Amino acid sequence: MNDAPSRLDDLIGQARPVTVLKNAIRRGRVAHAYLFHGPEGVGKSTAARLFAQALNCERIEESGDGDACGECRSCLLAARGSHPDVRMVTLEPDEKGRLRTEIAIEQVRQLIHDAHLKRVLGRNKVYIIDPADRMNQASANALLKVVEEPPGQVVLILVTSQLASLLPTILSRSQKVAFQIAGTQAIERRLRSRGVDETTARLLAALSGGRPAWALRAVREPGLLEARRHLLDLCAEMDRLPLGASLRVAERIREEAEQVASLVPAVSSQAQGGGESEGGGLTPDRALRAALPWCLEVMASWYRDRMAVATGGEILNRDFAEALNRQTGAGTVEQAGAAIEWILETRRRLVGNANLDLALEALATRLLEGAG
Amino acid sequence: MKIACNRRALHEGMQHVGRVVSGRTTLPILGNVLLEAKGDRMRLVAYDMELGAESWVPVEVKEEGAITVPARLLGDIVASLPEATVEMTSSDQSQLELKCGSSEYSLNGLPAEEYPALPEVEGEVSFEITQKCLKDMIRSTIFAASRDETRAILTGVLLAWDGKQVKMVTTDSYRLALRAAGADEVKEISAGESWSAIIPARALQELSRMLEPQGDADTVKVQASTERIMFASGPYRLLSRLIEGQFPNYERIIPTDSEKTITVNREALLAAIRRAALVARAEASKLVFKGAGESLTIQAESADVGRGREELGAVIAGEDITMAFNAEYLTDALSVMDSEEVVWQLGEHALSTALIKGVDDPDYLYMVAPMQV
Repeated sequence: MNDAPSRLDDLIGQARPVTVLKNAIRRGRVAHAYLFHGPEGVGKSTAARLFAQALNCERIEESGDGDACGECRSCLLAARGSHPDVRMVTLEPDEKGRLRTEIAIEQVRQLIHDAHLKRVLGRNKVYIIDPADRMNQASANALLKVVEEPPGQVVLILVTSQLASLLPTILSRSQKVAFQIAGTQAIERRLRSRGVDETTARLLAALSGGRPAWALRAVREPGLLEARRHLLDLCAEMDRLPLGASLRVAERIREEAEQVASLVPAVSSQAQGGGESEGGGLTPDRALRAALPWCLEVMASWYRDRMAVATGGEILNRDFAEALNRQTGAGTVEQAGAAIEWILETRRRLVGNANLDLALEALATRLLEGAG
Repeated sequence: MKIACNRRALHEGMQHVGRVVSGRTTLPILGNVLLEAKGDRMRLVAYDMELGAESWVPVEVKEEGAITVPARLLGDIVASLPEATVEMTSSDQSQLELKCGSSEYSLNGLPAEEYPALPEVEGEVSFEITQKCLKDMIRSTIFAASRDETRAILTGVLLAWDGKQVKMVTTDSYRLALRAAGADEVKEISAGESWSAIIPARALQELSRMLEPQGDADTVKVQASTERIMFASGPYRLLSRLIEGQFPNYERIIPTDSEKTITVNREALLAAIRRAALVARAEASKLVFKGAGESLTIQAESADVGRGREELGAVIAGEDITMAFNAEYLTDALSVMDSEEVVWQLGEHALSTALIKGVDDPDYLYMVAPMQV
């Protein structure tokens, strides 16, 4: 948990939402229901936890700026996830230990029951519902009653990357706080400050797609960088492979995605800031789908670098400079451009629930054709 | 930590706290029981962030210390061990070795420091009450608490001190049960001029179980702050969070004395209602009561099932009576009352709230709303 930010100010690249939240505390104008929304992995869940911590920080008056001290008893309990007045409502495992796909109504009932009890230690009873879009109709309707008539000192924080999946009635009664993709430079700076060397920091920042949690995770998981190397090796080899190798190429992409899925469920599933069991419950296909965009992004970076080499721009994958330089020739820019388009198209298809193996094989065929 | 203790004592301690253990997966350590050896006792703690249970077991402490282990597992093992001395050792923070006779177990645990501390009850309010009285108060009111979580206040049990009496009140808005403690059952009260708290019904159910095996003459110490309440009895303690909000002003709705009353033998009435209810089940348990002169008739009718009629001797005061009630609402109360005879006091109209009291029991009162005839 060393990587976990301990105050709202530690969040990377989220100055605006952080200001909104701190001001609410500072001015004593905390809403009853918040909706943290924005892309996956940018820090919404972490922000929810830190906001809950600030809402109960024992030294909030002293700090004066609306952020938690990170050191008092309440902050330490909140950071450990054992603050009695801060509750997480999230996807729970079923009897077989697999993560459920929905937040069950029983969990919401438990929340409602708890919300009507008096607080234990803190000033506010905070309930973080994450991912809020996984509440089914019944759960959402049950929650609505609390959103409409919140008992005293209750603050609900709904976290979602799928704003459109929430009930309009809940949307309209919550204060929306938007989180954005963090700038790669901000992520790079943070990685550098943690002692990551410059090349790796830049690489991870760029590959993170603006998701700090991912970049920090990748630092701890060397296997990710290994998967990246394998994918880039594959791209480099593409020139030498026969057209008929498409099945094998698709298979290799899939293998790397499986590897990534096993290492970083947080790539795209609901990152909880570093729990051990998370993602274990995603079905293999979903975990794979969650990991593939990242793999495709790595491959796209290869082709972008080829364009950069051809046009004299700066490359991202510096450790592959030699191989990139070797592949420059006439038509590189057009070829690489087409490859990037195919990769992005494949990514879109997978999001649209296309058959995974077919989509990858189609991509492999096109890349091989383009390379030849 | 290193201790030796009697298996039965450990088993009893585990049974007491075991029921409070949480099934919540978001904080796995709450599925554990905290074992804390100090002095000549071991403290067992279970806490689900709403209820906390503690028990103290006499042990021989060879080395002080603490650890948490899965409560269910430890409870099941201890329950099935042979009657012998149990030795428990934890050399590190996360491993408990358990030996008893020829049985040896090593359980994976979690460090005690990670276990959430039970909050203190720094109570302004405290009193002592006899076990018998407290158990009886719970038994005779808890059934009328609401199960509808959307009205959280009514899911709780009001415990109140009005300056003269300690009372327990429940209502689900269709009926209300009130039991006052006899003056000599409560001692050492320090609760100002008046005080009240709304306690989750589950806490009192657990409390009843906790008091079960013990002597009626013993007292329970009650201590409360604005946020929580604690009951302590012998080697056991139970802590509960209170429910937020204002309990309905029930005193205002208690009907004043009325001319229309039915006085009847409680057990005869209960038996007749139970029989008639069998037929009325399909009709929302509706029973029609008619009282005239010296008899009370109970009628049940269902288009699908048939009909039933019960008649019993009663003293009817005032005019003739025709009213309908839900059978379950009546049996719930009649079965927990002690009085040989009950007085059923009816209001002006067919839909006025009725009051049921025991003739020899001034401390209990039950109100129930009638149904449409």
